[in-house]
Amino acid sequence: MILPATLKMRDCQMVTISPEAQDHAMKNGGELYLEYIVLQSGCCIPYQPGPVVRFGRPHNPARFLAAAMEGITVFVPRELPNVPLQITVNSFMGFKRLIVEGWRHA
Amino acid sequence: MSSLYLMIGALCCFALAYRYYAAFIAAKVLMLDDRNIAPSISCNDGQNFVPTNKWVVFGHHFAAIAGAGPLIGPVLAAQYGWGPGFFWILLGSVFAGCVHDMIILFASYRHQGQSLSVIAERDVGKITGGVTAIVILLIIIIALAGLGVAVVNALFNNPWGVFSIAMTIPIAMIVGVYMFKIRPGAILSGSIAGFIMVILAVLMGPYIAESSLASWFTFSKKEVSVLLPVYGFCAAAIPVWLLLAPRDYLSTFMKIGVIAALGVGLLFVNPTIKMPFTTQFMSGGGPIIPGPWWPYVFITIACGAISGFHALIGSGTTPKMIEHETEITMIGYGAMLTEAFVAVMALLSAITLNPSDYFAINTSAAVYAKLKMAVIDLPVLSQLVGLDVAHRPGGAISLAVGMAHIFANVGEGLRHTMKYWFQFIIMFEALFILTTIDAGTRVARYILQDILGYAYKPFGRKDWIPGTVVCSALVSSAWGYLLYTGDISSIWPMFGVTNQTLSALALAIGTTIILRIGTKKIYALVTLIPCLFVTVTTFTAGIMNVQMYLAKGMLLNAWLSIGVIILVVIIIEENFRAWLRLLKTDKPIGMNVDREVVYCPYIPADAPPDARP
Repeated sequence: MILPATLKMRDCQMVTISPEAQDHAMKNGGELYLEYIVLQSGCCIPYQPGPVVRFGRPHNPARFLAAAMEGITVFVPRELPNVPLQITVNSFMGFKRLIVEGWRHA
Repeated sequence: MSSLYLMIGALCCFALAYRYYAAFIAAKVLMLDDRNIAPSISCNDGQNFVPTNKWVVFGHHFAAIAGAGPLIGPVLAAQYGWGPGFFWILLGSVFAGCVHDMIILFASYRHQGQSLSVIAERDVGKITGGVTAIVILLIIIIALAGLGVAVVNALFNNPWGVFSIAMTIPIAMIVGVYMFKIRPGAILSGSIAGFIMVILAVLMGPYIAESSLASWFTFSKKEVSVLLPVYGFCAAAIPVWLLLAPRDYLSTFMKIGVIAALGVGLLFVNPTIKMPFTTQFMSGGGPIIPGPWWPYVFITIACGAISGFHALIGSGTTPKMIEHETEITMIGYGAMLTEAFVAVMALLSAITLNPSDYFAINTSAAVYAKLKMAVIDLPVLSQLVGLDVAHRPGGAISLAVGMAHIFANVGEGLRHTMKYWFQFIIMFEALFILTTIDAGTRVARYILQDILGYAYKPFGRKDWIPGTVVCSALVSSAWGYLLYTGDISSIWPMFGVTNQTLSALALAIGTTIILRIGTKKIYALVTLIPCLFVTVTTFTAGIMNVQMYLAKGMLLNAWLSIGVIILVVIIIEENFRAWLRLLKTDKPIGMNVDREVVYCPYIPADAPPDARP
């Protein structure tokens, strides 16, 4: 597949990935994408959810920038605000999952 | 134009609506009759079904339905100008929201305080009952987790807010013991004492924050995310008179008091409306809400005009506490009107800001730059509140700035107190939301007990201690998990539309009930017209959202939204068939309330006196 835009790590400073998250991502295919949406309506609290990380390739790659990070490809939505974010691993009841840290909820 | 015109116009409209329309519904459509024994009396278990003074029930109900929605929604909807939001709050609340709350509260009262799904199962059909149970449990768990996020964001690293809000818990318990056990019925003295203690807690907050005790009340986000569900569990499990009812009641004093004070402030300051009637964003492309005014202004304002969440409270805690059937008018219709007035005041606080300042607060720097606007008063406002308030979207900050601006301009000497007012309003917003969380958790417990009661009957009994503990733990863990892990981010985008879809569902059930009991079939238009409007609006928004989710590859939200739409179509279709059937009957067939229930008998209005407890 031809990526719409491949960015080096230095070109995509707003998203970084922790070593633990890299290992976890490698075990799950090595491709991640961030889901992000600007809420169409503000109901009912002052809360704009931050991006969510998912394994695999996005449904519509043209809407994403693809960043190559230490062997991992991270697809970042083009409309994601330019705030520093880090993909890390979170463990809950023994289950590991990837999360995005650094989002300041509005 | 002076903002006073809008405030006074809204008050007149609400007064007329309550005097005439609510009275018409009470007398002609629902035929409220105090001879129908309240479930709080016939099922009195001292824990969940507790006969309670009407003002305390009003306070509880208002506090539970008035979350952040009436504060935040109108502020965000001001993007379209003041006209769409203002007129929707007026018309939507009077003809849709208040009617919705009143009819569901009435239905639950007649069904011995049972939840919406049980009412639907008995009066519409088993499919509707089962599907409603799934939809409302999903909605309430999402709502509680989302509301929890707002409280966490307001209270982490905020010892003033944590102290003041935490103190309302022991104060409420003291007042609850006093009003229900030590001097039952002593509402006035209990209220005065509780009110004074709450005010002291608020006034002490800033001093605590600057004292050595501050560390005791300073928590990280994770810590608040754990403490909130623990509090939710307590509010859901312990007797309603001990914590939930008095805390909500006391909170209502502060809520209504602050809004009333804002109204008085407006009289003094008399600010002009600076936002135009409509803006260039009516057809979409707005910097705050990207979609067009229809359907999104209706989704955004939500609880300020109508909200499906209210149906859960109206068929949850409130009907188990009302003492007399005629109080349904004041509590069901009146509390929603009060909430609509809160929404009007929130809208006024936003539209009296300069539009360029309003957009500067509610958009990111990049988005604001594209608007090519220049801030006017924002640097001064930031200086007065001691915080750079630019580019803090979400609605909460602009509301706090707008309200603080009005309070601080009542007199020249108060101008330097704007920082204090700003912090107070931020805490006030958290208080508004927390009362929805505690009541919501208890309601979710009731809903889960109703569902599990089908599998194992004792769960259906609200006074069965194991069922109470297990269900309280399950629901508070469920929303606590979404809150703690942040997974609520994945599904929150679908909440606004889903919540409004629930109101369409409740209005459909309400229409069926009116057709069953109404002396004239035409009375069903009272709920049918708002039902049709809300259904078309929310389905349009739902379809637009699904298209957007699919375009962005957000498949979870897309499939969940499609699932909810299908479920609601199923419910409305079954209601529609019931309407056709009921329209053919000559006389009202009545509600299906004479079936055996698990824990307390239904006592008809014409039962002999010795049949009553």
